Amino acid sequence: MEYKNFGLNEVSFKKIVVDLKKNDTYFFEQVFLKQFGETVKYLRREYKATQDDAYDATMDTLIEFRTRFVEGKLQYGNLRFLFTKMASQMLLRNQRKNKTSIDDVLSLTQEEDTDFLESEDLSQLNIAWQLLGDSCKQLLTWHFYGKMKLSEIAEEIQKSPATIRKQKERCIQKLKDQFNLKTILKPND
Amino acid sequence: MENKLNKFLDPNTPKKELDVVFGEILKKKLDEDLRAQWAVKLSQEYGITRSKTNGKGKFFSSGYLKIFLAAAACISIIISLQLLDKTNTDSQILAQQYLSQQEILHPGTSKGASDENQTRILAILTFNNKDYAQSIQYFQNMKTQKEEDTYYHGLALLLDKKYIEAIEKFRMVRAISDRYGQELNWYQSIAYILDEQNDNALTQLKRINSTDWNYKNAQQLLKELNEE
Repeated sequence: MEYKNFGLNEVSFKKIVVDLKKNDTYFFEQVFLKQFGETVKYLRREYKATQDDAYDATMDTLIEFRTRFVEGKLQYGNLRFLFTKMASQMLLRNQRKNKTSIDDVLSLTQEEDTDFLESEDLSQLNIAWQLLGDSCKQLLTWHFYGKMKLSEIAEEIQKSPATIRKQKERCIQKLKDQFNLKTILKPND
Repeated sequence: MENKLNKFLDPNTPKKELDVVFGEILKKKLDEDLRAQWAVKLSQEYGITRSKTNGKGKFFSSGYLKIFLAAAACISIIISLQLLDKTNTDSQILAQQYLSQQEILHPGTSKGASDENQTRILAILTFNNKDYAQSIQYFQNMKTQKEEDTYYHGLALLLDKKYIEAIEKFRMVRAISDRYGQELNWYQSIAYILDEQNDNALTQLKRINSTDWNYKNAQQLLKELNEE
């Protein structure tokens, strides 16, 4: 059973979920980065994929696995099979995305819109994010990225849920305020 | 394509919708961070790399390309360092990589501060634009420096590869305050390694406690140093 789950037992499976909710990826990396090469080889062998395509599909799968872990959408059972299957699907999806006809582009736009942030916007977001305090980064990451409920966070850091709710709103507002570097550097703001 | 960022910044966006949009934006950012982090680890620890960037498809138009280019650049730097300068040790390569990996930005002027001068603002602006040589000039031209200024002056020197001067600035900050204790432990260690002062680097790295910032990276550097 543990072979089917990358050597994880049920306890360690739960630990990964708890860690990832707090954006602690250390244990997840220990388990899943080890499978990366094997999955790349599988995709290259079974689908005649290029190294780049196999690498990208496996990376997409890792990202998707993290998401599913924190959303509680993965069950302990046969993670190895699921990971390989998902990597295959990612490969086929990416290959479809690389088609260039207008019809394909339109259908893919409807199917999924993951590239909604231009790199310039992302870079601005990175700067604004860097300027946030650690407590804000932690709260927003745990809640939005780790899918922790505000009440769970409140319990974890021993504050009232109302305080956490207000803090979350203040943090989002801070991020908005800090979004533009010019605004930040304006004296006496 | 709908600009979710505009919706996030729009003060009229309803709260519920704002949460959804922000969740998507933050996920995009943090996913990209993880991709970059994992690309480096895969390359460093498992020797797995993406052979080259694809000329078409999603990687060409998105931030994803930047990440792979960054990873590729890191790998190129390592290879170049190994080829061009055989004297570079693993710890130096790793230290340089950690330094390049973590984006360092000045937080800007404090809200409500009234004594900001033009030179300081220019020092900050040039620092955040990664023009470290120019930033150093502005920091040097400041008549008085607060501890924060000296700290960022030191970082600018470090990022401009002036390691001895950077270490001196870090010592000055440490002497007047412990506000930047964890940051100084880390960056001073990096500066020592890059300046080949390994004994000092070892001492400094050992000061980084298990709950401190960059503890895991510090342990990795200690391991490399002890093996050299």
